[in-house]
Amino acid sequence: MTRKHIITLLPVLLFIGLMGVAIIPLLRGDDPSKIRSVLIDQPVPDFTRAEFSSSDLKNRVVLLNIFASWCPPCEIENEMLLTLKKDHAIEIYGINYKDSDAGRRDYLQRLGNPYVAVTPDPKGELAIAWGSYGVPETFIIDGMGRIRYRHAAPLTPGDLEKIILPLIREIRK
Amino acid sequence: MIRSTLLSAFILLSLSGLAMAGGMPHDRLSDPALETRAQHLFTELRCLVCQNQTIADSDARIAHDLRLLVRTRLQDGESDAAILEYIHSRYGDFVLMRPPVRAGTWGLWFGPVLILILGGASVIQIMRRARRDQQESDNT
Repeated sequence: MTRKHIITLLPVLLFIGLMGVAIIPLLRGDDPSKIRSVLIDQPVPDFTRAEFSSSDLKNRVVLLNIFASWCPPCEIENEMLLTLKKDHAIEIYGINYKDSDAGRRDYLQRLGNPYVAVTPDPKGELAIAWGSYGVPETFIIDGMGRIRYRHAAPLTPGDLEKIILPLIREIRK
Repeated sequence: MIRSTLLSAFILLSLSGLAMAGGMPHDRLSDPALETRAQHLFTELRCLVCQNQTIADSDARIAHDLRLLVRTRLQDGESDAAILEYIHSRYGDFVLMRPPVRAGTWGLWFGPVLILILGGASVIQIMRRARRDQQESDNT
């Protein structure tokens, strides 16, 4: 192959390369609306609230869940959180995103309360501190107060079996 | 009658324009200098759920929360840079309309220029060759 050939082929190769960059995530089934959290492997954000504070999330594996009573996927997910609490003795802390006191009370009474403690976040500033962009979101925090995983969707039975429980087992080892 | 209908339609449409430009009028800061800074910051931040809209243009809940956070922190006396840095530390490069220039984002910043240079060079080469072929065929 001469130099001339290479130069002629260069645009074609560039094109194939760019196509690859665009197509590979599609084939892999990546969801472009999912953004990886930059807080993974970072310490939990510092905050102090009457109901619980960042210091309560250290020393053991815990889950933090952001939810709202006006969010139908949260309602469906609540079942999974109850399973984690009852069958696996996992402590879950709740951030109640942009909700009313009455809304939260009715919601937890009607569906069952999987949380150790719930703090209201009427202005969404605590959700921002956690880099959240919607509800529900679930974080796994290891025994050292570091965020190990963020799930930006309602948890399903499959997520519990394939992601959440294996990761908790691995952290506890 | 018609005139008053037109007038109210005009007023409502103008208000909806205001609503889209970074929140409802009653959300605005009373200090115009701070509000100008807030509006500028809104155009620097990408809405997380609406793909390539700034938080100034978006109606999404998260965009509203971020606008509120920006305004609150401006009123608390924080600098523009500190506010952007805080939000960047929570959401990563994605949230900045102009991501920082570093090794991981070189392709983003310089890729288009590189492609333009390569493309331009090959166009010039093709034109030169065409002219040379033309001259050669003229000479024979």
